[in-house]
Amino acid sequence: MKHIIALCIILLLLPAILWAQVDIEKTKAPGSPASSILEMQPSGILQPKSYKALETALFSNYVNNQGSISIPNDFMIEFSPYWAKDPKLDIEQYLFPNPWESLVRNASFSLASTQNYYLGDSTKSKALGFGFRSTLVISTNKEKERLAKQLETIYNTKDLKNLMYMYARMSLRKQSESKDKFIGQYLKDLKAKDSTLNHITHFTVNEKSLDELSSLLHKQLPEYNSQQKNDFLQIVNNVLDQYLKTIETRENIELLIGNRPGFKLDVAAALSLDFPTNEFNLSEVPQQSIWLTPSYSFSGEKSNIEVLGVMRYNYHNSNFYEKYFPQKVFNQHSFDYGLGLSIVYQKFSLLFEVEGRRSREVLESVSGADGIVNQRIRYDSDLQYIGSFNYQLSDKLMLTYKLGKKFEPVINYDGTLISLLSLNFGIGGPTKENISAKQ
Amino acid sequence: MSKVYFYEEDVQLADNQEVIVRVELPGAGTICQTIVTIQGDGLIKIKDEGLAIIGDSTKLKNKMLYITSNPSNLAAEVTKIRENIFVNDKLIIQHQNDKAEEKDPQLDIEITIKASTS
Repeated sequence: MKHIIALCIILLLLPAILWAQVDIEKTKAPGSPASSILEMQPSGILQPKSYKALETALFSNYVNNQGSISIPNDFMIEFSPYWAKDPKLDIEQYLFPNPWESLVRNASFSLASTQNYYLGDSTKSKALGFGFRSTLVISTNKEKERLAKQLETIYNTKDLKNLMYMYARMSLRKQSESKDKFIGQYLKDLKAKDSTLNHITHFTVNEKSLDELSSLLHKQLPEYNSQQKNDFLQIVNNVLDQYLKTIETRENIELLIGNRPGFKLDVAAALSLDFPTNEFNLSEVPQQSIWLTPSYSFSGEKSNIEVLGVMRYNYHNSNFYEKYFPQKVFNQHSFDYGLGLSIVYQKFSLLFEVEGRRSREVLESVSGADGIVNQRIRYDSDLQYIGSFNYQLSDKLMLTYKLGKKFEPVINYDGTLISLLSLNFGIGGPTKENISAKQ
Repeated sequence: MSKVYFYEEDVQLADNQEVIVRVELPGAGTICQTIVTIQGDGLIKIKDEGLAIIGDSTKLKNKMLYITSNPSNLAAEVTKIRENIFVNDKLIIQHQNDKAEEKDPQLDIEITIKASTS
């Protein structure tokens, strides 16, 4: 504890050196391509779940009282067509789609808008972003077996809970004179030779297994009152949840489903549409981007290793940037690529990323009398790499150290070394995903 | 802890009909275990969707059908838990709750079988 306090004081006293960088998190296929291409963080997000709700969302946010088009500020709508149809899928069909099915199910379209798209002379203009995103998933057989085993556990737990609840109902019909007499009858019915519980392979009915149940019932049940039968049964239900750990079983499988190992390919595309004069009769498409992020995740009992590759292609409209950003240098075509490795072991995590950038700009194009076109082309390339070491000190406290080299910035060049030690704390608890050297 | 949803309904059936209880899980990603019994005599289990043949409607007149069921939905994209229960193709129970309200509902259902007046 003394060391942590000393470290905090040192960090507060040292000047903080902030580096802006394009890190692998920004190059990965974004959660919302439409807002990402506008470089804005939406303050309002709607995710309509049906076509009717989508129609309402578009009409109420993009059409004003006079019936003409309006552009809301920092706003986004995201829509998944597959889920809007309320598809019927049993649990096996849901958990194990084929690759094409996963691509269709994960597809979403996004529409973002802002009134603060800054031009080169700091004028604000209105802009829209249109995006598409999906994920192709291929599960391993090992992962399928692991999920199937966990599914069997949850089915067994539900079966047992249902049976024990039903027995409670029946026992209450036979004996409701008092709480103690009900508990006595209930345990007798559970242990009876012809009880269905005796035929269940995943649970053993004996004194030991029912001792804890008896203790919980005695502790939590009030005296029985026939006017409050439902409240009494609600408490019996609560006791069964505690005894059988039904909620934890469901949470465990949800965690497994949310962090599935195997191969994934995230694909995304977006384009921006700007209205430089804030009038709808003049619009330009400043930028278009495509992202591809293949990744493979290996998951163990206590650890997780993920390898990912990132690729992003950007097209910048030269005419737009020459006209509205005359002072800045932009490359028409740029290609970012990178590799990342993430290892999580208990409280410790390590992330290593390498990113490259290649860009190309046609500076001059001259056609000769013989029909041959001569072009003067500028090529740029750069490389950055960064290693990040994180240690979760507590639920709300994370120690992070980043070391590496960043891309050479276009302006204000003052070195490319990254060396950052930080102590991060937050209400929701920081994770290695939401800590970035970009501050 | 999970919430219990209590239902009490009647169903009218003509005489000499086989009484069939059917469980339906609309939407995607719902799992469920259901038990059906006539006043505690014999328990019939249904896993996810399926049906249970209870007996003859004439013999079951004015008897109570008890059903307990505990649906859960594992699909992150789905916001509601839904379960429908039919007796002889008549929709008797249509349960729906938001997952934000309860993720592990327990259904406690009593259905009285009555003779059809027609």
